[in-house]
Parts: sequence; C-alpha cells; structure tokens
Amino acid sequence: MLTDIAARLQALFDQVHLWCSQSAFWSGVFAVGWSLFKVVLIIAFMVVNVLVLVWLERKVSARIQSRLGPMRVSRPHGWAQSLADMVKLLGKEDIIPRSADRALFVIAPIVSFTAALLVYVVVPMGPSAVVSDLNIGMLYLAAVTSFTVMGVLMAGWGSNSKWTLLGAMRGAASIISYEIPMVLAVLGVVMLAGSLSTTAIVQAQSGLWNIVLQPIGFLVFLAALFAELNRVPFDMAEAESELVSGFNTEYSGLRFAFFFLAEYANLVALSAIGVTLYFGGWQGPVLPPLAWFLIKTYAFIVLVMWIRWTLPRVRIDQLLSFGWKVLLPASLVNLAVTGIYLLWV
Amino acid sequence: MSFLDGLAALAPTIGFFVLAVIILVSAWMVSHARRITHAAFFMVLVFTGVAGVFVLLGADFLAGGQVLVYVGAIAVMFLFAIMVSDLKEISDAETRARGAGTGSAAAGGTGTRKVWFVLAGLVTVGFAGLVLAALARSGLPAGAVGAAAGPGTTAPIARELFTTFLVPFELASVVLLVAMVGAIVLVAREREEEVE
Amino acid sequence: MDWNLVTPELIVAGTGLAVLVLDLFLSEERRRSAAYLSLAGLLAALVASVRLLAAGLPDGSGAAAAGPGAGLWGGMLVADPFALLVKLLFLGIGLAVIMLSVDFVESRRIAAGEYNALVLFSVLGMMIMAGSRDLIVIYLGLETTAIASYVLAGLLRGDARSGEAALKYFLTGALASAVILFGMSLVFGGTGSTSLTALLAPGFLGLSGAAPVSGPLALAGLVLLVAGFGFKIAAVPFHFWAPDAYEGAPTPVTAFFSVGPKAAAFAVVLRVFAPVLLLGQAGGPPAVLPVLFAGLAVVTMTVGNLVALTQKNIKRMLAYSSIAHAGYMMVGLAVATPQGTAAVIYYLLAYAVTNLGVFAVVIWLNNRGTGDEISDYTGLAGRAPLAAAAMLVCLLSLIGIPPMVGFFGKFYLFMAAVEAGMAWLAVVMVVNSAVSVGYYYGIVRNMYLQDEPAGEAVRATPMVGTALGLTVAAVLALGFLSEPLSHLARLAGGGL
Repeated sequence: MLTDIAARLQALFDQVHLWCSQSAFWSGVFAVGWSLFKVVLIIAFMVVNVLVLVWLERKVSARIQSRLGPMRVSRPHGWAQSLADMVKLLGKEDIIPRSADRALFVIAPIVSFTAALLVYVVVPMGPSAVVSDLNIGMLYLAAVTSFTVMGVLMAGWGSNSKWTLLGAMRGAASIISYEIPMVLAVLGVVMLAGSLSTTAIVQAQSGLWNIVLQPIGFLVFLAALFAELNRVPFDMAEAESELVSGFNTEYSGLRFAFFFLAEYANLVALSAIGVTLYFGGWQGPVLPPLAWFLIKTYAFIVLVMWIRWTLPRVRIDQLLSFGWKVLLPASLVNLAVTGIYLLWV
Repeated sequence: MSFLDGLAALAPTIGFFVLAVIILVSAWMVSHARRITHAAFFMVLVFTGVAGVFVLLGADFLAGGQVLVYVGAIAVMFLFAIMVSDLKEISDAETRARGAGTGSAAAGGTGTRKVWFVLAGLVTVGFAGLVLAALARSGLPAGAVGAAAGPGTTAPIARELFTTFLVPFELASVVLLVAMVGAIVLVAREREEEVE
Repeated sequence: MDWNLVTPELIVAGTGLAVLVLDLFLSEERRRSAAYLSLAGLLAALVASVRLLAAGLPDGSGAAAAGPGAGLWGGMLVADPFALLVKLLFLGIGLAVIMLSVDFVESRRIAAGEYNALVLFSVLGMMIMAGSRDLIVIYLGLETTAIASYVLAGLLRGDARSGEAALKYFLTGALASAVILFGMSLVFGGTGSTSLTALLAPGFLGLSGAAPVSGPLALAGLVLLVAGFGFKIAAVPFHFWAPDAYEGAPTPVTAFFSVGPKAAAFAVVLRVFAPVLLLGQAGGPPAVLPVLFAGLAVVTMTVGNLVALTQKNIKRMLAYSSIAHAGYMMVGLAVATPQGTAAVIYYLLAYAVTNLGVFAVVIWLNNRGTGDEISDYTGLAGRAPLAAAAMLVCLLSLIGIPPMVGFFGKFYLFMAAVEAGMAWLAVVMVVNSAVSVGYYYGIVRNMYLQDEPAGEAVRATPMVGTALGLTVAAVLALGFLSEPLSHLARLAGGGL
C-alpha cells in the first residue's frame, strides 16, 4: 500500500521533471520549486521534532529529578503538552521595548531561525536523503553556525538591556572560543573520510564508527556542542539564574517562539551531525536508513539532555580557560595523531 | 531560444547584479550608518554578499572560508569590541560627530567638505574608469576566468596550498604569530601590576 | 630545494621563537639574556648570509638565481646577490637596534622577551620581502614587518604619545597595505600570475605597439603599488604619519623605523620596478613610471628638507630628514638605468649606517636623561666629547661631505642622473643637500659653538658605546671602501 503510493509519486515526479527539462526556463522553475519544496519539508521536520523534543526534555528532566513531568494534557504522559505550549506562545502579546534598536530587534529571531534552518541542508538522513550533498559539507556547516552567533549578538544588542547584552557577549565569547576546537576535532573525521561531504563521511564509516578511531575528537566535539547549543553546563548566553533569560530576555510571543524553535532545531541538527560524524550516520542492519538515523539522533539527544540536567553551570572564565587550555590542545593532539595514523599506519 | 530561456541563461548574471547591489549598498551603509553596531552588521552583509559572488563563480570552498573567517571570526570580533566598549562613550562620540557635522555646516565648513568630497569622488571614478578602460582594451589573460568551475575546489586548493604556495602558507603562520604576540604584549597587564 | 639558501631566515625565525620561549623562564634581573640571545642569532644569520654571498659571487651570479624566476620553491624565495646584500644590511640593522635598545628596554620596563622577538620577526619579514619574486610572499613579509612595527611603536604603555604613534602608524600602514594589495590584485589580474617575472614577458607592459595581454591593467596596479610603498617609505605626499610615529615611538624603535622597514620597502620597490624600468632601454616602457618617480623624488626631498628646517625636536627633525633621504633615493629609480639601481642600493647602505649612528648618540643621551629637543644638545661637546664627535661625523655624512660614506651615496646618484640625461634632477638634489645643511648644522652649532650650561659628563653604556663605535667606524670605512662596495651594488642590481 505504502510502497504503491511512493511508486505513484515517483512516477508523477519523473513526469514533471521530464516535461520541465525540455526548456531552460522551466527547468529553472523546476529547480526553484523543488528547492522550495525541500525547504518546506525541512521546516515541517524541524517543527515536528521540536514539538517532540520539548515534551521529551520535560520528561527527561522530570525523570532525572524524580518527578513525573507533564501528565495532564492528553494521555498517555501528557503528549500534547508541546501543542498547548505552542498555542500559549502564539497567543502572547508581541512587545518591542521602547528603547530597543527596532531593526536589530526584529531581524534577530529571523537570523537565528534561518541559521538553524540552513544547517539541515547537509544533514544526511539516508543514502540519498540529503537536501544537498555539498562538496564542502562540513565547511559549510562551520560557516553557517557563524550566523547563529550573529542572531544572538543582534538580539542582545538590539534589546538594549544589560541582561541581554551580557548574555549575548558571553554567548559570543563561548561560541567563538569553542568553534575552533570543534572545527579542529571535526577535521580529524574529515581526514579519515578524505572528504568534507557529509554523505562521504557516513559512507567512510561503513566498517568502523569514528567514535572508535576518534575518541578524543568526539569528547572535544561533545564539549563544544554544548557551547554551540547554549546548553548547561555552557549555557552562557541564557544562564537563567543570573541573567533572567540572557540574550532573549526582552522577547515575547512569536518572536520568542522563533528563538525557541531555533534552539531546539539546532539541538536536533547538531545531534544529527554528531551521529553523522562519529556514529556511522544512517548506517545500520535490518532497519531502513531513516529509522537508524532517527534512532541514533534521538539517543544522542537524550545523552545531551542527560548531561544538561546532571551538571551545574560553569563560570564564564572557567568556560573560556577550559576551552583554550584543555579543548584546543586536545583537539590539536587529536589532529596530529590522526595525521600520523594516516601517514604511517 | 525563447525569451524565457534567455532569461534562464541570464540567471547567474542577474544573481551577480543582485549581489553587487547588496554589497555596494551595504558597504555604503558601513561607512554611513548612524550607529556603529549597524555599521558592523552591514559589514556582515558585505562579507556574506562576497561569499555569494564566490558561489556564483563556482568557488565553493572560498565561499565557505569567507563566511567562516569573516562572519564567524572577524565580524564577531568587531561586534565584541564594540560591545565591550563603554556604551555611553560610543553614543557620546556619535552625538559629537553629528554635532560637529552640523556645527561645521553652520560655520561654513561644508564648502571645503564638499570640495573634498567631489575631489575624492572624481579620483575614484577616474581610477575606476581607467581600470575598466584597461579591461575593455585588453581583456583578461586566458584562464584567469572560469578556471574555477567544476565540481569541488577543495582538493585542488589544498594541493596548491601545500605545494606551490607552501612558503606563503608557512609565512602566514609567522604573520599570525607576530600579530598574536603583539596583541598580547599591548593589552596584557604588566607583571608588576599583577603582583601589586 | 636547497635549504642551505634559506639558513639566514631559518636562524632568525628560530631565534625569535627561542627568545619568546626563553623569556618565560628568565627572572626579572636576567632579562638581558633575551637581547644577548637575539644578538647571537642575528650574528649567526649574518655569518650565514656572508658565506652564501661569498659562495655566489665569483661567477657573478647568485648561488641559486641563474635567471629570473629561478630560486627556491619556484621563485617564492630567491637568494640572488641583491637579496643577500640587503639581507646583510637588515641583519646589521637588527644587530645595531638590539644593541642600542638593551638599556632603554631595561630602564623603561618594556617587556624584553617580546621586544626582542618582535625586532627579530620584523627583520625576518624584511629579509623575506627582499628575497622573493612572488607578490604573495612579498606581501606576507611586508605584513610581518609592519605588524611587528606597529606593536613596537606602542610599547611605551604609560606614554600617550607612544600610543598615538602606534595608532597612526597602524592606520596609515593598514591603508598602505590595502592599497598595495589592490595594486597586487590588479597586477595579478593583468598577468594571471603572482610572480613578478610575468611582468617582464616580452612587450607586456608596452602601452604602445602590440600589447598582447592586459598591460594597462598591470600598469594601473603598479601605480597603486608606488602609492602603497610610498606610504611605507614615507614619500611625500604619503609621509604625514612619519613625524608623529617617529616622535612618539621608543627611540631605539624610531631608529629601527628610520632605516629598517624603509630599506625593506625600497628593496621591494627595486625588486618590482627596477627590471620594469630597465625594460625601457629594450624598447618603450610605460613612460609614466620614470616620470612618476622623478616627481615623487623632487617633491619628497624638497618638502622633507624644508619642513625639517623648522623642527625643534630631534626625532621629528630626523623624521623629516629621513623623508628627504627617501627622496634622494628615488632619483636612482627615476633615471631608470642600471647605474641608478646600483646607486640606490649603495645609498641604502650608506643612509642606514649613518642614521643608526645619529640615533645611537640620541639614545646614549636619552638614556642619561637628556631630552629630545635640539636645544638639549647645547654644549654637548663639553659634556660628552665623544658623542659630539660621533654625531658630527654622522651629520657630515648625512649632508654628504667627502670622506664619509654619505658623500659617495649622493655622488653615485648624482652621476647616475647626469649619465641618464636628467641633469636637472641632479641639480635639484644638490640644491636640496645645500638646504639640508641648514638643519644639520643647527645641531653642530648647538653642540660645539654655544656656551654650555654647567653640566656633568655623560658616559655611554657599553652596549650603546659599542654600537656607536661600530656605526661610526662603518661610516668612515665604507666611505674609503666605496669602490668595492659600489661594485657589489652594481652586481646586486644587475641580478634583479
């Protein structure tokens, strides 16, 4: 039944494609339309995942804290809690502080959201299920995450409040400090695969997962991941017990929802990237690739949540000296060892 | 070829001009934005636009590097520097700058300013004209344009970087080391101060 | 790939790193060791350079540079006689500057390890600039030198003028770098190669006749390069940063600026332009370049000398004097002959040695609490007869009085101009030298002919004294050795 529908869709797609390829103009239109379709698909994927994750996060944290978590919005286990949250957020009043820098204040959530969206372009969910298998996949990823910092800085400055500014600056400091070891750690994987393409990286792990070959690199990546995601123990940009809510303190309603969405979308994306880099991506026995991809990604996400709810927040200076004095040398050692391994072993 | 197909063939050209307008307008705003943070964010836009031009040229690795280095590192550093500066000082300086502008206007200073402005404009336009004329006269040497096309520039760039351009590559690390040592020696607290 | 040919650079780079590391383990009292280590490294590099030069000389060509484009790593680095000769000069400058700065650094509490390392890296950058035929490598060498220089200018952290000097030097330097890069990009666009040899392809730059490829574009790039390097050598109208930077920077650093980066920039200008200008004889070079250099030369020396007349501060005066001397040197480029090129090389040596001597005296007195005003030199002959005598010798050399090396420098430039049929330029030069007597004599008069206010004798520290002795000896000796030296300069210039 399901395969039948898929086959019919495929046939329809092929027909449209064939018809469009007869003329340069229509093939251009087709390309644009196909890209738009992919974007819509990504956004849908993002939103669904975020809704699940918000619920999951509440449940995981409750479990760790010996609570039940949300139980009342629908059964079993209050699964509709996220929907209720969403409705609540959308219904809130949209406030722009009078002293805010309007332009930056308005653009910031869009930048954050777009940056999160762009990451999905290179996430491989199956042998051919990737939006665009860029040659420079991992470089693209590192470049795109730069825009995440931009969103944080825009919001922090644009709100014109000390909490947001402090949050933004801490966030920027931690992200740029941790981006360097992260990129260096990822380079080890890239060297093993001999390619920057995410698909090639997954294929290179068909025998052995990179976690075995790159344990130091993985630990560095994991640590840097928390800084990139602004999650405890490195949630400098938010630090709700010190900075109210950090860089997004002044936001409400839909605009806040965008940041919220971007944050969880980043969690999914970077977890997926972690799986791609170190756990063989979509590869696995019996089950279809997409299933393996989702299973691994969610396992990774649970790991991240587990760490978040277990550890306390570090101080900003501890964070920075850990980044520069421990992670950076560790990632360099990893890089050197990988190089030696590739050259002489 | 129909009109529509012609349009499709022109797509890269159209893309280039759109990017060019974005880059030029943003660059203008970098120097004319009233708030210094806006100038910095417009600079981000300039960098991104240039990365877009690289993409159009088929230089994907350069585009990625451009964004990673210029947006991710340099622009963030700029913004960081602006944000750690004394906010009041910045806004005072901005007010002063505006006040000075109107003040000199009242004092009849706009005349000289205009002359300089026109002169600078003439020189710029003249030089641009010269370069364009030179280009029109002789064209670029063969192989300088379009050589980058093809799938994946990473490996060729790496090969060039570690063979032909190995010396510059190593020298660049010396430059960066010097800059780093210099920055630290200029801003680090002195040893005596730390003891006290 | 002959590693032997880059030993001087490797030694200097290694010493720089070693000094940085050594500094971590030195106690406060033993910080001088950083300077001693730097001196040892520079000396070793000097010896290595001399050996390379001697090895390459007999057959009249460099050890590796059989023709244009030859060298290490496909012309990225070259070790021809020109490169080796100016490297000797740079290493000598480095030695002198470090010797002059040991006491200064100690008494002003400047971070010794970083200071010496920065000087070493700056020298390294200069050596690389001189020893390359590739635009990218030249630019990287330039930036190494420039960045180290900006920092060196600002090392007196409590002193606002030092900060001002660093900032002005940095801003103009960054602008100059941008202009140079733009120029290089146009040259690259025109030739399709980052190598300078591409400029020399037959008929390439010829504006008239059949220009096969985009000569005009490269020419526009070359004009921008002239402007950019004009900043670096402080040629009028790109000179305005120099007096402030020279005045505010720590005095040994000023001494370094006035000879080091300037000589390196001249070396690059020679490397880039001398072959292009010499093409003129082969058949129609871009006529705009010699005219450009001639104009710059006249304006630079005239403005430099006239403004120097009015200066009260010796460092500012020396800044303008240094601008004027850059003007003289550009005469050698304007004439566009091999003689001119050789004369510029010779003048670079002469000027560097002499100016370092002057600064040695200024630093000697500065270390002993004498101010930087020209009036502070009143009656110096009584308080420090040796310093006054040394100063006299160097000033005479700067003016261009016969037995000193400065005379021969000007003489060769003069002859080159006359031989090239640009006698008017030679006349402008002579007139300017006459004007310069005005301000140099002002110091001499203060030292010898004014009644001295009662003052006690000022003695030099061993390091400064040695450096001064060496430079003065060189001023005198190089004057007597002018014949072999100019032969060497011709040889070096010929290999460009």
